[in-house]
Amino acid sequence: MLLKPLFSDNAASASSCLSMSQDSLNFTEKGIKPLTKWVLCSLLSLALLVADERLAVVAQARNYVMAAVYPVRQLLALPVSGFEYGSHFLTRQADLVAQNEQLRRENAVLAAQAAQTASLRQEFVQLHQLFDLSENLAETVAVAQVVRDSRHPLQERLVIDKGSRHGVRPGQAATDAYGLIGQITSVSPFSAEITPLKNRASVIPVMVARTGFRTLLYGDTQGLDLRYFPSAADLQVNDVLVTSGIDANYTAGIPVARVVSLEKAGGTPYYRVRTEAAGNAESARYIMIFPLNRIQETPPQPPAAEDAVSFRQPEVFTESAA
Amino acid sequence: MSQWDDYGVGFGRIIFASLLIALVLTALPLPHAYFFWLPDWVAMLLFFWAVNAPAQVGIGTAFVMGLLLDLLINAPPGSHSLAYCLSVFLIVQRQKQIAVYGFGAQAVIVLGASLLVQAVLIVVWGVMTRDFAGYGLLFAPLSAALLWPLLNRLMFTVFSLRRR
Repeated sequence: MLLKPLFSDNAASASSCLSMSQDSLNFTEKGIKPLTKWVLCSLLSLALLVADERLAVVAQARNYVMAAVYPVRQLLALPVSGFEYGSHFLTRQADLVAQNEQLRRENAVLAAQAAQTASLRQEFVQLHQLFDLSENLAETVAVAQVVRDSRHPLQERLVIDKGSRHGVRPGQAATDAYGLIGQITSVSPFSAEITPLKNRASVIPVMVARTGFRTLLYGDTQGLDLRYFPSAADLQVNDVLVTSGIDANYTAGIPVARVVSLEKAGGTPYYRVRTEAAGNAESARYIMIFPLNRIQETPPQPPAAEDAVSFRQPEVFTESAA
Repeated sequence: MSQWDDYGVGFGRIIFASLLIALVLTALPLPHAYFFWLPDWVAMLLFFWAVNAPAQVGIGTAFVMGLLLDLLINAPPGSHSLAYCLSVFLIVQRQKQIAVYGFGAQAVIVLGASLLVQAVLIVVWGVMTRDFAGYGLLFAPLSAALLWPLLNRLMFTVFSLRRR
C-alpha cells in the first residue's frame, strides 16, 4: 500500500495517501500477529541450529540436501571461476614466460627427487613385505579442484568437486602442493567440504622432521600454534613439522608448518614458537586428498613409542602387536 | 489487497524475482578476503519489501529466505533465518513510520537492521565455533546503508516501467 505515496511527487499527497489508505482503517487484523510469527520462526530456527549440531539424523539429512543443492552451487561458482579464468588473459606475457621458466626449473628438481624417491619407496615396500606388513605409504587418492570459497570468515570452507563416489571420506587430509591445508569435514556424493586448519577446533599430531620429536599443533584463526614444546627438547628455526601419523586421520609425513622464530620464555618450561603454515588454503587451486591412516583399523596405541627416533617405529610396533 | 490492484497480478512475480536475484547474488562464492564489504542483498531486499509491501513480505518470507541462503552457502541451517526474522520483525513493527521517512532516515534504519543481522550471525557463529568472526563483517551493513537509496530508485524504476 505504501509504494503509492513514495511514487507520488510531493510529500503532502504522500501523507494524505497514507492516512486514507485502506489498511490503516482495517481494524480487524487477519492472520497471525507479527510477534507470534517472530517467536515461532525464531524458535524454529534455534531448533534447527541445535538439531543440526546434536542429532546425527539431521546432519545426515543436510548432507543429502547439500547433494541436491550441489548443481545449483556449482552453477553459482561458474561466473566466479569464469572471472578468474578471464583474468588470466590479462596477465602479461613477460610474467608468463618468467613463471614458465621457474616452473621448468622446479620441475627438473622435482623430477630428480621423484626418481630418487621411487627407488627408496621400492626399497621400503620390499622391507615391509619382508616383515609381512601392509604398505602404509601415503598415496594420493584424488586430485580435486576447488569449487568455491565461502562467504563467511568463520565458515571459510573449501568445496571440492570430488565426493563419496570418488572415495572421499570424512576426516581425510587435504593438501595443496606444499603441505596440509585442512581436513574433509562433510561429504556428499559428488562434493566434499574441507575445513581449513586455521580454526580453534583443529589439533594436529605433528613431529619435528629433523629429530622425530612428537607434539601437537593447535589451530587458531591467526595461524598454527605450537603451544607445548618443552624447552629441554631440540628445536631450531626453519625446522619443518610434519604429520606424525599416530592418529587415525593424517598419514605420516605430510608437511604442516615451518618454525619461523622461537625463544626460551622465562617462567614456563615451553618454547615460545611462531610457525608458518606450509600449505595455503586461501590460494589453493588444486587439492590432493590423502587416504585415512591405517592405524584406525588397529587397536589403540600403547604410549610407549613417545620418544622413538624413527617415525616408522610405532606403526611397526602396533601392527606386529595386533 | 485493493491497494495493489493498480500494480496488477504481476506484482507477486516481481517480488519473487527480486528475492531470487538477491539470493543468487548473496550466495555467489566470492572470496571473503576481497568481498567482505559487499552488502547482504537478501537482507536489503527483505527490508525493502517489508517496508513497501508489508502485506506480501514479512517474517515468514524472511524465515524462508534465510533458510534457503543457509542451504545454498552451507551455513548452519537456521542461522540466517534467525537473524533475518529479528530484523524484519522490528521493521514490521514500525513499518508505517519507516515508509514515510526519506531515504536518508531509512538508510540509517537499514544500517541498524543490517548491523543487527550481523550481530546475530556473529553470536550464533561464536557459540558454535567459540571464535570471533572479525570486524570485517561490520563493513557490509555500511555499504548496505549507502546503497539503500540506489536500490529504492532501481526498484521504483522497475515499477514505473511496468505501469507504463
